[in-house]
This record gives sequence, C-alpha cells and structure tokens, in this order.
Amino acid sequence: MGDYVQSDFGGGSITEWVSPPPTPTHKTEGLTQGEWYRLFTGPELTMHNRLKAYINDMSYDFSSFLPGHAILDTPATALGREDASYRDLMRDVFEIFDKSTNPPGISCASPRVAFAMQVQIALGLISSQARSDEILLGLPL
Amino acid sequence: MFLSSNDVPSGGASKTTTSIANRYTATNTSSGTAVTVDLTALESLSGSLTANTLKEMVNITGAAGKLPICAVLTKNATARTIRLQVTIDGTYIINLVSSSISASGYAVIAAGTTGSSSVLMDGEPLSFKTSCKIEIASSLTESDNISLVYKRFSEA
Repeated sequence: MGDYVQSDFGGGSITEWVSPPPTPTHKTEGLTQGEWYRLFTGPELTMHNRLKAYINDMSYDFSSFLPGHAILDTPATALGREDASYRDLMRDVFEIFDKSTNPPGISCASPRVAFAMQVQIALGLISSQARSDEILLGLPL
Repeated sequence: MFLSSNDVPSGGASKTTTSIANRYTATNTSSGTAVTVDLTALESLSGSLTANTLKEMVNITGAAGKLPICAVLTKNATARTIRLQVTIDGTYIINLVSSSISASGYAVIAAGTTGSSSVLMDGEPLSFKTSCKIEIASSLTESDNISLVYKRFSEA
C-alpha cells in the first residue's frame, strides 16, 4: 500500500500518492502473434496447427491427435454456448490469435482470451486449467 | 511562426493549459486505449478507492511546471469505468470518464501519445503556472486495481 509523500517541487511543494506497482516479470499485454505462440509447447502448437489446417474439413478424422475430438461438433453447452459447436468456437479462437493486430496485440488478461483458453481446455488442446494459468502468466521479460 | 499573446519564445512556464479535446473528452464514452507504460514515467497504484469518488493523487502548489504524460490505467480485467480529473491553476480543465472497460492495461489519457508497441509516451504537455491537481476514480470500491501514470517537471 502506498502513502502520501510531500516534497519540494520547483520552489513550491508537491504532495503525491506514491505506490509504485511491482516490477513486471512477464509481458502480459500487447503480445504479438509470434510472442503469443511462444507461450505454447511444441506438442501444443502441433495439435493447434493440425486442427487449424483441417477445421473446415467436416470429414477429417481428428481422433488420432485431438483428445476432445468426440465433442468437436456438439453444442458447447458446458461453456454456456449451446448456440455454437466447439468447432465453431475454435474458428473464433483462431481468429482471435491469428488475426489480432499489433497494436494492441494480445492481452493475457482479456476475457476473450480467457474464454478461448476454456475452449481449448475442453478439446484437450491445453491439458488443464493449471496449464492455461501458466500460459496466461505471459512471456518472461 | 505566429505567436499569440500568451506565447513567450523562451523562458519558463508561461502558459496555462485551459482546455483539452481528444478522443476521450469528445464523447466521455471511450473504452480506453491499450497501452504499455513508458519505463521513464511514474506510475502509482491507486491505493483504496471508494466507488465513484475521486482520490487526489498529485497536488502541486506554488510552482510552475508541465505534465507530458497523464493517464489513468486499468490493472486487471474487472469491468469498471475509470475517471481522470485534472485541475490546472485552480480550474478544472479535463474530466474524463470512460465507458465500461473489461481489460487490463487500458488507459484514458489527458496528456501523452502512443508509440510503437502501444507505449504511452510524452505528448503535448499540460502546463501550469501555480498549481496542478490530479484526481482519479473507479466505479468500483477497490484497491490498487487502477493506477495513475504521469511524468512531471517544474519550470522557473
């Protein structure tokens, strides 16, 4: 917690609330696409890219690599989106991450990113909430 | 170059900023701008705030100076509105109130501009001759979830 500090200022005085934030250890805002994908492991990226490559091929069999392949075309009711399938939501996820512009870049604290992580957890692209939390810590500075 | 009656070609603080128009003042509905804090700027977490109540963060008296950066910034993604009020030489010159912001690192800006990688950099400064007060507020009762980002220097 901070406190008011009084000091001289150009012959007058200044009273200011001083409470500097902790020095950041990770970049969590304004990530470029390259920086964002550096947060993922090789196997995570491979799954991600294979799903992206075939996302619009309704006959493609994802069972060889996608843990959540069985729910891909079912309504995402568990995420409060019974209006959309997990495949639909993954298209949105790819939009968020692949078509983000910089600035402003990708924010690890964004609600859209948080939802995108839930979609990926549901499909097994990300193994757990703990792994998602680790990713959202951001890029070490 | 044309000089108005308030312009002095050289010397110290000779002007008082009397008004500002930017994207935040124009509508008071801006959801802010994503920024990264310039490492040369001062940043101070708000401490405890009472919802919709201004907290005085900086109060300068008896001196002249300038603020090339002055902005209020969200530090987490909780939905809230944020407010920044600046008083120069005893007169309110700006009272920015955002629309609801649900992201971290978003600012409403009275002074400063954004550069590469959204860094909030020095802009056309707010100038004061005798006093300057900066106040901020959140629509929530909370602590240290918004901050004031500023840079100040005095002039004689």
